[in-house]
Amino acid sequence: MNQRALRARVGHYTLVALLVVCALFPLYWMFNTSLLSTSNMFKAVPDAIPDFSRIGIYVEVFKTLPLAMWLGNSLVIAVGTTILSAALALFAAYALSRYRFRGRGFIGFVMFASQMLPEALLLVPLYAMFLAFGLLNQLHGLILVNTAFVMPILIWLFKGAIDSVPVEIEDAARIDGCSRLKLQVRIVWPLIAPAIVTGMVLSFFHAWNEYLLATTFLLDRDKRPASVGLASLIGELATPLDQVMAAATVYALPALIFFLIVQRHIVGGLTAGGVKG
Amino acid sequence: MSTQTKTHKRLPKITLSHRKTESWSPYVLAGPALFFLALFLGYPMIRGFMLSFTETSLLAPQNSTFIGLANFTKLIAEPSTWNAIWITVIYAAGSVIGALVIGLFAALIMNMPLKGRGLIRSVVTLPWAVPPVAVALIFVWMFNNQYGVINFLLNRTGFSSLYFHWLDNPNLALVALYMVTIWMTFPISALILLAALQSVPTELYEASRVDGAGLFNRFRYVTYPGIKPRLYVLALFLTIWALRRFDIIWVLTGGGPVGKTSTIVVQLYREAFENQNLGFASALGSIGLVLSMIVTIIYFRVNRRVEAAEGGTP
Repeated sequence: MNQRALRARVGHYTLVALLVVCALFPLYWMFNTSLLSTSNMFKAVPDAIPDFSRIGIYVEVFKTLPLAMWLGNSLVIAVGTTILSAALALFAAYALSRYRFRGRGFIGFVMFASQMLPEALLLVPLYAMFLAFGLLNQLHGLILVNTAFVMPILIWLFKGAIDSVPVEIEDAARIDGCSRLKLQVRIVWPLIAPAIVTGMVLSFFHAWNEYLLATTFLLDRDKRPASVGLASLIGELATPLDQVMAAATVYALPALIFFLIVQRHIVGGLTAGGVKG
Repeated sequence: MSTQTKTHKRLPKITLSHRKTESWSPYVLAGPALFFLALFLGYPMIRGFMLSFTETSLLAPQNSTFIGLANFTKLIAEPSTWNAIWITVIYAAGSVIGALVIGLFAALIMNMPLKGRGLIRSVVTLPWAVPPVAVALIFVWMFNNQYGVINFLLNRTGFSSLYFHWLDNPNLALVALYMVTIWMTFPISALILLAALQSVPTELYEASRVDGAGLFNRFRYVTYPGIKPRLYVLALFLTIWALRRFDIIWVLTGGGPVGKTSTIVVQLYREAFENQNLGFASALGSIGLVLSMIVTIIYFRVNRRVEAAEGGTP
């Protein structure tokens, strides 16, 4: 019996180990490759241990590729999208949660339906619209359109959080003479802070990762965000692979770190509000 | 759930006290968000639909001519359309089933008592956080036929002695895409299914054990009914994401080789921005939208039947 329990436990831990390896190996391989010299890269048996003496590649890659500019553009788009989408979504979610009004059900439907829309279908009309408004090649154009795509998810997330805040708290504050807006900002927002943080992280990385809209609307090389810049390295042979992988690592790292920090909240938010988009 | 019902019960009260003075408030609060959605999603969708009845060039989108259903008849006559629909369906089916099965497997493993479960959960779900373009860069290198680590490992472990051209081989490109897609999406499945598993009451397991149910029966009669609602929502969203996915496919294969990975979305992008045929591309997009709608309708149908069978409890 004891032996059987032990065997079951060993089996279980083997499966866990297998799972961890499958999940992490591609990331490990990206990092490992970034530290390989070109002569070591193309061997019959690849080097599997990172050579930390070559860590300088992470400085070098900023000199050989316009990586700082790419990341800067991504940052502008992501920060803009985060602020705009969170602000719009917070007010809309408050309205949906606290008021019964005509069109409320319709808004709920629209939010759900927006998740079904393929970005690609909207690409052509959006392109024409951007052309007409002079938004092509503008980072703020990307902010606007990314906001539209990510906002429904945030509204959903925030509404779920506001629903769970007891109305009595607000009623008490109202009696004390707090205006409805002030009440929302001072009382409700702090109470749903975890949901707001989760929503902002989702929004940030939606924009940080976004490729299709960026590659279509930002034609200027100086306006390229990291997703478009890095994608341009595929199939071109001028950039050594170690630099490509170093750049990919630098681009992926913020997302990985943030995810690890807020992971618990994301899981809570997703399972409470449905699923993310 | 309990808090939510409570809120609903209280809502009429607030509505009554504020209706007169603040009937405009919800519109002011939700207005900007709605304006945004209408401008950047609603209007383009309608425009896109209308464009599909026109002949429009990318270079001069303002000069478009109404041609009725000509784009659609052309679309139906074109074998590449049917190919794109077929590829979209099998790409979505394969990657969704893969993500669900592996995600469920991962969730079951992580649901067992385990030291350092929090850390393991974080680590296992990390792939979900990697930007798709970075994923594509990693896998292009890993799939390299000569020096790629995937071929190397297959050789070493004796599964195959060939050096596959994963992304250039018409029979393998889709398999490669499945692998990448499932690697990216199984973490979110695992997270949601793990949360679902943890909501199944442990007493039920104990009761079934007392009744002598085996592992399979326990899964079938206890676990599966418990996680079913979340499993269905998850399947719906995974499918919609698969139908929409562009970045990974475009960057890894560009729809090739010989159209074997050319989903509707990829085909649409080609038609619009390479062949500059906006009307035709929009018609394709309408088909993609219809596909998404069919999936959603099926989901709601199945869901309603399940709820009805279970006595209406969601």
